[in-house]
Amino acid sequence: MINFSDLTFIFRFLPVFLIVYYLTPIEFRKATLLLGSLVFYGFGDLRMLPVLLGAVLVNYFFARALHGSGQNKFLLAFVVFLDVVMLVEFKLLSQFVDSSFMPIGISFFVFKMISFQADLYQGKVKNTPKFIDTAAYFTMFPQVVSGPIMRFSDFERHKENRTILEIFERIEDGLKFFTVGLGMKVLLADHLAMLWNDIGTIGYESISTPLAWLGAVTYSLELYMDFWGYSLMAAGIGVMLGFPFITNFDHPYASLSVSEFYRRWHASLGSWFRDYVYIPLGGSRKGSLRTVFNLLIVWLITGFWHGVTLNFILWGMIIFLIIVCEKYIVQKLPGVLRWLIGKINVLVLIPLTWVIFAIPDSQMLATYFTRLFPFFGAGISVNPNDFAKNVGIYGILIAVGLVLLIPKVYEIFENHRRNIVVTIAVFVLFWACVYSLANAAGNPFMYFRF
Amino acid sequence: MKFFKTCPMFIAIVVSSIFITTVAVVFANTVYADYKEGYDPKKAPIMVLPIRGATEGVFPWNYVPEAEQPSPEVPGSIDELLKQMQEDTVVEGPQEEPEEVVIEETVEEPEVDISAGDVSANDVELVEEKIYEPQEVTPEYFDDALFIGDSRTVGLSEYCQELDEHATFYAKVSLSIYTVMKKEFIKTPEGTIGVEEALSNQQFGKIYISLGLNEIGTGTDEYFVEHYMEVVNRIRELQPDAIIYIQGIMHVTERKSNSDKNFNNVNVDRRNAALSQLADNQNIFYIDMNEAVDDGNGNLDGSLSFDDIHLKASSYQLWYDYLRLHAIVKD
Repeated sequence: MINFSDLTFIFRFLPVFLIVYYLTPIEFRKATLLLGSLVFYGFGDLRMLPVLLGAVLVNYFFARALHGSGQNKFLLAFVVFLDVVMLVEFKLLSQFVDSSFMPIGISFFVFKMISFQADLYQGKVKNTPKFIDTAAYFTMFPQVVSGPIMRFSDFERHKENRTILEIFERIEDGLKFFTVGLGMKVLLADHLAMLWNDIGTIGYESISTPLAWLGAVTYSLELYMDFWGYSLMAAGIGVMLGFPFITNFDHPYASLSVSEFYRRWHASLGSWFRDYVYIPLGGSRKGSLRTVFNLLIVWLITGFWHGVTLNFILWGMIIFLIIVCEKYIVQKLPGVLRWLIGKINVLVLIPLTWVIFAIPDSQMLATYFTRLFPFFGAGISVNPNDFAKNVGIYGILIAVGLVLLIPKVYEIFENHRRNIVVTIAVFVLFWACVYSLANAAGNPFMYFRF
Repeated sequence: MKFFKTCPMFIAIVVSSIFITTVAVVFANTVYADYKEGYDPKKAPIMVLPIRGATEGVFPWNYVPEAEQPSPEVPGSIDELLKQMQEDTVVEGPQEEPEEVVIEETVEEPEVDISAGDVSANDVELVEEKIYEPQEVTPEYFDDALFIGDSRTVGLSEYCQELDEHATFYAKVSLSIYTVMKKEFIKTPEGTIGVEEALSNQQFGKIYISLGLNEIGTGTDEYFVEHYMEVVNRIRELQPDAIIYIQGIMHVTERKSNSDKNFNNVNVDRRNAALSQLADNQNIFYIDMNEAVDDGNGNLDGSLSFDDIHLKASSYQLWYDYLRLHAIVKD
């Protein structure tokens, strides 16, 4: 139920919550949001609900102190330290003891808490924060599981929907974003995941080189559709509740460099690192060496944030290297060459970095790369027809995914979403998703067919 | 009207959801009774029933109430089927078996004698049966062999080149003993046909069946074996001269077995024990390749699998080697 692409969420939690939320008098709606979010979290991970509650209370306590203290650096450092220790501790516990020690969404709500404290310190939060508001901001169910890491200033931009028409206009609009996101997740990502899984089943040592590349493309698309879809769903729910639309993905694959890619990919995380790590470290204002060092810190932490295993650190380091090369070499090249290298970096190197992201086992990762670049060794029991077979099965899905990389396609929906044809298309998409989910829900044999 | 213009999609979704839910509630115990059995109200709204129905072409308007339906063939109990099976083989037995059988039998090792004695004690006629010992064969053995199976057999065909060059495969992902004779999945130049038609068109010398994992979470063991027997009988009718191999279901890995209430090796072993009883050791043989991929504790060796269910491409050779070393040769 804690998953947006779950029928019980779509047809039970969300409608019930919306009804209760909008029946609540305006001044108490934040309280309804807080309560609903705690119920939502409790359904997902009741055992870890106290962790979330504890983090909320501690952070609120410090926020009050920080707000009245007038830029007390020590206080800020202390509460950020507490938050970081909590996050690191749970990450290590879940990695080395038992994966069930990972409270759902901790990476996201802790980052929200840190940004809140830093914003308070910098005086970006004018009024003394109220407990209900702060707690609702930290825990709000559209964001608690996987972000976006919304800033408190955006939370404050919340507009109360006062009239009935206003309410339904917002619900309609949010529902459209939600549905498009749902489609990306359910119809594309979840099915592309099956191909990536099939490749594992075959064994990386036995895939043909074309299939290895197809796999890299598929995994990249899966990750993108999954996370972009999730972010659209989260933003859509936010819109239904009166929050501004949070753009978390802004057509990253249309970027002309890797650093641009990461401004447009998971943008709320990228800007978090920019505002709360990179710039406080001095950003690019303290000379080249210091800039490189600051980037290194940012990407080390980014890697660690995604996961504790070595591959994530490696992934972060490679992105770091590419970005440094871009900054100090590619930038100085003539226009056409710069454009070309930038495109290659985004469209070829990025998918390869996702392969590193995807495979935690270094031995298996090395095997995968020898299949991508077969000059380093031959495969075992490779079936050369595997590429044609999988293109036959997944070709259409991959093609649809690739078409969605073109910014214009999504923009048509975004700009014409009140158009009747688009509305009907989204309505059909909604039921297509439900159809797919209904045939999979509670039916382990749908996705696990042998 | 203004309201409708404000949120047309929302209204359409609410109305259609209410409609489908109403259909679901009204017909839950009639049209959708089959789907209601496996339905858990905690996990999904009731509207999944008509949607699952629609997927399989079941709608309120083409529903025929139980009483009016022509009664489907009632399959006999497993015991009856087994008896019938044995009778069948007894009738055919003498025609197929040459006299020298008895000589071979006396040469057999004592332990085989004991088991043979057990059988003959139950049924005097079985004394005449020949004892076949599995033996090693060359790849040419599989020239007239057919493999029927699910995704695991698909994998065998895709990643065991030598076998694929010799044998024929009627294999499909998610195939089960309940669907094997119903689905039309065999591609021919004239179009896609079912197993029944394909077996009427071409005769095989050996037929290997490897099914049973997809359906392991459904039905009882008895129901499963009944259906399995029906399929084997039908294949026997269509291919009277073929050796039929019932392949035991391959285990899953320890990790999977310990964490899945359906796909675990307790279930697999129970079903395999039942399957092994279907063999008559004259025309129908039970072979179990699990020993070739075992981790020593009755599970699929984890290093041979990535997803805990299928062999990795490079591991299919083990299965093939097992088949090559455990073949039945009739002279």
